[in-house]
Amino acid sequence: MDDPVLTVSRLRVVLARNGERHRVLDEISFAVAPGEILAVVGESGAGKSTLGAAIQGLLPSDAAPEVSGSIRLTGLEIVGSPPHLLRSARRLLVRAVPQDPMGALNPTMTIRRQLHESADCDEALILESLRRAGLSDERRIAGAHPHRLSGGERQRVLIAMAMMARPKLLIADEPTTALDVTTQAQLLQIVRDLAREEQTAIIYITHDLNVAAAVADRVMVLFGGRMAEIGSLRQVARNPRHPYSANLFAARYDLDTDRSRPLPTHRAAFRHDETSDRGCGYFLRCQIARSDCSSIRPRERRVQAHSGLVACHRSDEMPLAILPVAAPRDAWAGEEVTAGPVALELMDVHKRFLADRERVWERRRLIPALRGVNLSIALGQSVAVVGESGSGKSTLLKIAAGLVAADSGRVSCLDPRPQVIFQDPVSALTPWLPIGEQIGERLRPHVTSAAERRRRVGETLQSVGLDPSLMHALPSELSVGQCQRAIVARAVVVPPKLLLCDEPISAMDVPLAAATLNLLNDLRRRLGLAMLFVTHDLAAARIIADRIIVLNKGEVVEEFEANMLQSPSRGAVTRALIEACPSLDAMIAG
Amino acid sequence: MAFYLAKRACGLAIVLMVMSFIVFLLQSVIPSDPARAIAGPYAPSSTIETVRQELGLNDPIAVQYGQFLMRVSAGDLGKSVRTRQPVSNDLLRYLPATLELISVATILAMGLAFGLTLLLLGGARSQALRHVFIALGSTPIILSAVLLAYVFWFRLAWLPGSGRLQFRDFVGTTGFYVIDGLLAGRPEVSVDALAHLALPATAVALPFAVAVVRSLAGSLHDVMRQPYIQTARGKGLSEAAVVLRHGLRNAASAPLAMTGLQMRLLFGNLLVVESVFGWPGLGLYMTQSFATADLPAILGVSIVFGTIYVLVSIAVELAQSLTDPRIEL
Amino acid sequence: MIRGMNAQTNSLARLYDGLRLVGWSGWVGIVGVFLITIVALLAPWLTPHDPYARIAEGYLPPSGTHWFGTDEVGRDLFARVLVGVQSTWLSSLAVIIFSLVLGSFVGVVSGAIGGKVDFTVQRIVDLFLVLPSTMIALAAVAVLGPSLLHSIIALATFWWPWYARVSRDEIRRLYARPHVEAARAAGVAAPRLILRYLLPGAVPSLIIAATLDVSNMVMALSVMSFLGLGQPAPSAELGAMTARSLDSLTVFWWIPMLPAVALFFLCLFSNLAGDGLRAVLKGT
Repeated sequence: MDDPVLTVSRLRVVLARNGERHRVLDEISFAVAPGEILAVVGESGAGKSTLGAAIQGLLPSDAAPEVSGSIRLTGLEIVGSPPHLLRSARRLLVRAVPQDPMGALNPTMTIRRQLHESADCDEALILESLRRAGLSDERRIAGAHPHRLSGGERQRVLIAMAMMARPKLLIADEPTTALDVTTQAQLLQIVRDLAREEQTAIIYITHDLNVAAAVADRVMVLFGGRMAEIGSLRQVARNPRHPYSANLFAARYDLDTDRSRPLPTHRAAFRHDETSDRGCGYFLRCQIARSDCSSIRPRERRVQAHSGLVACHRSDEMPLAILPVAAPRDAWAGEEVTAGPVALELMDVHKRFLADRERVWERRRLIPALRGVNLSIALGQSVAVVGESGSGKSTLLKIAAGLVAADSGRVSCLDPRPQVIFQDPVSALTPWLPIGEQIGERLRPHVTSAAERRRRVGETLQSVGLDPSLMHALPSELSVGQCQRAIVARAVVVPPKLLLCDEPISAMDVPLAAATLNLLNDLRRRLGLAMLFVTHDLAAARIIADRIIVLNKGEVVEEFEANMLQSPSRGAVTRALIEACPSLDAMIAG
Repeated sequence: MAFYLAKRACGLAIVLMVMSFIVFLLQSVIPSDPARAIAGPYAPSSTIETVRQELGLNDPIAVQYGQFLMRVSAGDLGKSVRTRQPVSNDLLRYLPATLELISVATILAMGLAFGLTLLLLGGARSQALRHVFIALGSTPIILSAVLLAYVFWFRLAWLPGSGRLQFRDFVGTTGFYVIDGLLAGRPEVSVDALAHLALPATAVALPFAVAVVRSLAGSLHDVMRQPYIQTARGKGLSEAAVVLRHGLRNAASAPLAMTGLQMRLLFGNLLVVESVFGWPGLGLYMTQSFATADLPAILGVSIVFGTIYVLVSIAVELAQSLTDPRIEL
Repeated sequence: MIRGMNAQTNSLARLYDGLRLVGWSGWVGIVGVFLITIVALLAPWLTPHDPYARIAEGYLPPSGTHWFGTDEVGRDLFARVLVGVQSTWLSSLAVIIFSLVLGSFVGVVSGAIGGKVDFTVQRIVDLFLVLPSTMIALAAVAVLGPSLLHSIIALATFWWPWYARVSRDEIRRLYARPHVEAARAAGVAAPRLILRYLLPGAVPSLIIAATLDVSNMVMALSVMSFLGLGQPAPSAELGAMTARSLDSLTVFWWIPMLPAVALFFLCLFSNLAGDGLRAVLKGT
């Protein structure tokens, strides 16, 4: 192996948040070689993004960061370096592609000037790097302000900006989370090419194992700011030796996952608790914890199963097979419903929106969002709508929910008030009201007695896997997974006839997404709901839905049974979506 | 752009109409009688009646307002009750002094704002500096004007604090004495005019500059936490380049809006400063008109100030659209 | 204490953090505002001498019996400043509270109803906001006849639309948030939606805006009073006291200066309090 570009050893970062100091990274050690792509995976709050910021020397100063240990970047020590050294390191050695393409470009500066700042270069190089990032009309892009560009275009601009500096190390922090699968596939290709052609070392931070599989050579699993496992991605995926990574990899799903039974995952979402200082950070969640796990911190050590390192006392002894079977893996009970009373029917629905004006005197153009969509869902049936962003799938959901009125066409819904589960569970809960009150809101018209309402709320919380005592908690006291369950509880406290889900799992890490899919699948079967599930993730659509509808530019291009997704008769749009789906299993097998 | 300016011109007309109408309406419902004010408290009722006729005070309010609008569009603002001069003459006489004060104060405010911004950027994290800014922002114009007059005029005698000029004989052509002095080949007049301007202009400029810089500080504080600032830092730019190139321009919108808000308070401040420093401008003219409920004069000054106000708001909006490409006119 | 990343913060800990975030200057401001309000309410009983009567010679310097000395005609300056603080402070609070209540009511209702009602109300608010309001208020009081009540009415007329705008914008911002959308989808009735889901989100911004605005109102009222548009003599108002005694500035500087200094402290305390509240409620 060549000399590593980056060597991190015993890195510790303490940040202040709301006046309290949190240990965000704890004794992290790893190295990345030139041309190598290291995927960093873990749940939200595991310290993934902080790791990226620490390597750039860009920890937020108002969090009063305390850093110890060492980060060596091609021989230059980052920890404790004076600002001017850090600046030149950022200029020459390490660049980052941030998570949110919408906020990461200066809105008052043209793309050309922002690129020009990135490396001292001439116009030709600017255009050249935009082209290489996959932007074909580079002249228009270079002259534009960011608000004129789409999310995918902005993300490519950011990649171009990082690439043109020819850094030795690139930190990509969830660069494709906000993008479509097809755009994501193109960007992943660009990242791979970059590593191969320029010998750039890349740290790819992601919550999506399939994406990690598509780009990375090695994987590092973080939990609670500590490294759980590191090793070659293929070996770790086949044979994870840390119970957390075993859980993580077992919960993954893709286009070939068995959809007749629940995904293998924990039954309940755990309450996040203080990670103990002395023992193993995973102790409170671990199913195979021993008594010494709470008192002695496991050191990273070699294992027989693969060539990497694992921080678990029982890494060598545990038989892997017992790990991910917390949930009953019986097949879903009941027949799939194909015919029944129609819960939702859309006939020839059209919707157009006013475009932003380019010039004051121009009339605002109408942009069609939906063009003659037909859709019908029977009671007890689950239908997924998939498509790229801009295909009109969110508009479709809002029309079905009655939040937006259609321009023309007929919308008939069995339920006068269908329930919606939104994308971001935390922002869908009112921060100043206890969750019990928010859940009980839908009981108000039916149940007048407050005590009775409390009882019903408690029951519902239990049925979604939450402790009934949490009804008095504020949303900020819950974890993301618990918030998602609370939202599901609100939707089903009075079982609706129709449940609408708007990309509920797109920002979640794998175990949480799998648990949410299981919960929704379970509830809709138990309560006999009709469900409309909007997503850009074909694998999730296939698992949750009986029928899949593919939208493209406001029109339904294809509609088929979920089991028939991979059938050779699928149309071009669907095939493109299928091909863009990265898959970990395919990578392991291949 | 042309469309925008046309729209704004209509806005100006509406503002002036509404302003004049409000004052007219109030005047019709109150018991006070300008005719009595002119004729004096002991005048016989026949004299008062003659004055009323002369001023057209017996007509219905709508007729009076209509006539007023006709006259104004012809450039006639009526006769001041107090000075017995046509208001338009009075306005022309006092306008240059006020414009000169406002212009110098604006330039001074920009300089002050620039200096304070530098101070702010230098010691961005200093709590003490924040408190100094709060204290400056809490200083009422009455205190700062009186303090400036007391310290620099009475105590130190560095600067004059009353009137526009010590040369009683000097008659300017434009009414802007700084320029007139240069035109007449008497630089000492210009210097003296500037010396007289220093204290009142500082008093007007200080609250303005402090308010703008405080809002810039707040806005910069938010902007520096935006992801694109992190992107800029990630390019390895120096912190100065990050703040100047990426921070300030994005933060400029809020202080510009603050300029508009401050303009409302500015007129009150201007009136106070002109009367503390005996500055013979429109503000002093208006304050004196208050005492006699001199309606034509008050209306005339209001129209001039209203016009200035709307013009400045337009300038602020133009500046905002220049700094932020997302704002379209 | 160093905690793990996902450590819980309970409400008590948050309250404690909040109190700490106010900072010493914020506490000075909050305590100061309370003290001023109490002093203003009790002013008639606190004045050591009759503020309107000649009780000594004129132009006495500050001393043990007359803390601020006496004015030109021999009235106790401290008593007069106290009465002036009372009238200025209480009328400022009254205008601000009136504007806050009326403005937020109009803004919240207009924002929550939306559609044509919102559009119409907002155009009316626009009209108020583009007018040079201080100017018109000055002219209006001059025409109506100078008095404190007229000043208050004139300023209040032009002050509330700003609160209508601020609260309406806050409500629209909240309205677009997923949690309000979710509450609407859950079928929460309109009054309950406004009171429980929208208003609590808008209140912090409004409280901050109002607290910081008290000093603007103090300044506006004192300017009016200074220009002779307040209560006529011999009433004690802070602005007018300075204006009437400007001639004494050369020698007996404290006579015009002390009322202005009192104004400064009214503004300073309310600004410090607003700044401290902002630190807690907005977390900056």
